[in-house]
Amino acid sequence: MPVAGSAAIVRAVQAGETTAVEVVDVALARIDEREGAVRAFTNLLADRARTRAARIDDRIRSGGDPGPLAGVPFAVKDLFDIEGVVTLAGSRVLATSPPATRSAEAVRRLEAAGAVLLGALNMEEFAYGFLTDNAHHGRTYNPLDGARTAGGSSGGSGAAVAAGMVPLTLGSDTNGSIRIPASFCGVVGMKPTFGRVSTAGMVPLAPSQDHVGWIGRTVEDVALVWEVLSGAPRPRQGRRPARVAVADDYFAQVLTEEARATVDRAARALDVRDIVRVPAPAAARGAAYAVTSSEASSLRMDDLRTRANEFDPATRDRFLAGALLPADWYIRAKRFVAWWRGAFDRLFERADVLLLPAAPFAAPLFGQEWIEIDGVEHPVRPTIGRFTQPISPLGLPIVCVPAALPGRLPIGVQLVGRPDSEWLVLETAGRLAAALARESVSPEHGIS
Amino acid sequence: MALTRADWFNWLDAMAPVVPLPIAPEYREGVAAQLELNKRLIAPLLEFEVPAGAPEDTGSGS
Repeated sequence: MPVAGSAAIVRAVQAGETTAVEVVDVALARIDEREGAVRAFTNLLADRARTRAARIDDRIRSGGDPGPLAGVPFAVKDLFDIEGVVTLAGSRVLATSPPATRSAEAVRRLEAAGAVLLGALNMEEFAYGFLTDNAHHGRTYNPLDGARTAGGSSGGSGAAVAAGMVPLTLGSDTNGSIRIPASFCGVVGMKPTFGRVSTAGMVPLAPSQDHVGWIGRTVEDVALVWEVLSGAPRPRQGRRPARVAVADDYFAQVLTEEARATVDRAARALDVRDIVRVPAPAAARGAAYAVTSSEASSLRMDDLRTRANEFDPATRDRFLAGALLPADWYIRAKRFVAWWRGAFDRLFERADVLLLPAAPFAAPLFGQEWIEIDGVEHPVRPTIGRFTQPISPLGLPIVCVPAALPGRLPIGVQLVGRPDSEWLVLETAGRLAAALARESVSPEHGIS
Repeated sequence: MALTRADWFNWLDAMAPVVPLPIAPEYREGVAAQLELNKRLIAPLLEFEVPAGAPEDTGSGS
């Protein structure tokens, strides 16, 4: 039986209709049932979870406040520190590191709010890639089609939610690592404005683009997490709905018919009437790529010099090549982003939220190297991030909502807001999800 | 000028000892291919002229 959504669990636990321990046991049973086929977890902390859940139940019995996430089981990408556990970041390179002495800030905040940590989740090594086909910890399989990837780099985070193991996971997003698994697994992903949620205790990939992000079953679930992690109160209802515009040109090219239909469906559901053209998107993607390559390789330089053989072969090439990029490319990227921020801001004079595709296609098959789009063959791996990478250096708040046609493999859309407009983006995402749910309801996920 | 795979091997062989970053012979092919991919993805940035007078990167908020 899949675990219920976060909001439903909180209501039931706070009302005494169930206990946090019972919820944990349901989650563990679901993990036991699906983990063999999905392989989302790298470390299951069942005893720790039961102990923590019992404390939540004790607090409720004694009349205390269990917190806004009371009894919600969650799991975290294996790059967040968990006290007493070695943080692997999907790599063998860190396997000999000492256990963390303190959990990551985001983990601590969720636990302080009453959420119950169940374990660590599979990922691409050091969060560097979109497939979660990890040489050390294995593949994470898409719960909706086991021949396909769950996406990455937070693949375990997307798969665990989609499989109904936990209603909530933490991940990271540097170039789309929340948005791609959310899109491929048909769940909701969110990353906030850069810097609004602390990355303390999170193994970095590229610090100037790294975000903490999270994945949930519903928009309401991810909104609940934003409320807890930000401390930002929910705005009152009844505000003017956001003006939404869809992007054309680059963002309407090199995507499959299914992905195009997904954007069209979302645009209709939101009654979008305006179209904007994002300036210099290919250069922006190049900037994101240059920044990520340079920063990621610089951080791992000592290990690359002394133990390159311990890296996952797929990421090793990226790290080694990134270490050889000219400094001029990195500096040009930074100069471009400084200019681009202003150019992009002007789009928000016409719209509050931009609607963009999240991925150019649905989850590819494992081993699939090429995909035909409009009669042209494109390499799968470098094309996956086409729509998430360009906007990543801006650090804007983004919610990824599944919007594929009913009966098709999931594909998501990105709703992108100006800095610090998380609640407006979430309200728009909720409006979209509700409109799509009225069209078709999937018993598994609530949203088709 | 279109670069060939041989050019990427030359870059790798010239740069790696300077960095310094030893690259084992069995990794050279994969790294050269990745350098080629990096250049292809970064090329639009290198071809783009940031308008004069644009703000400089402040190193924060990206």
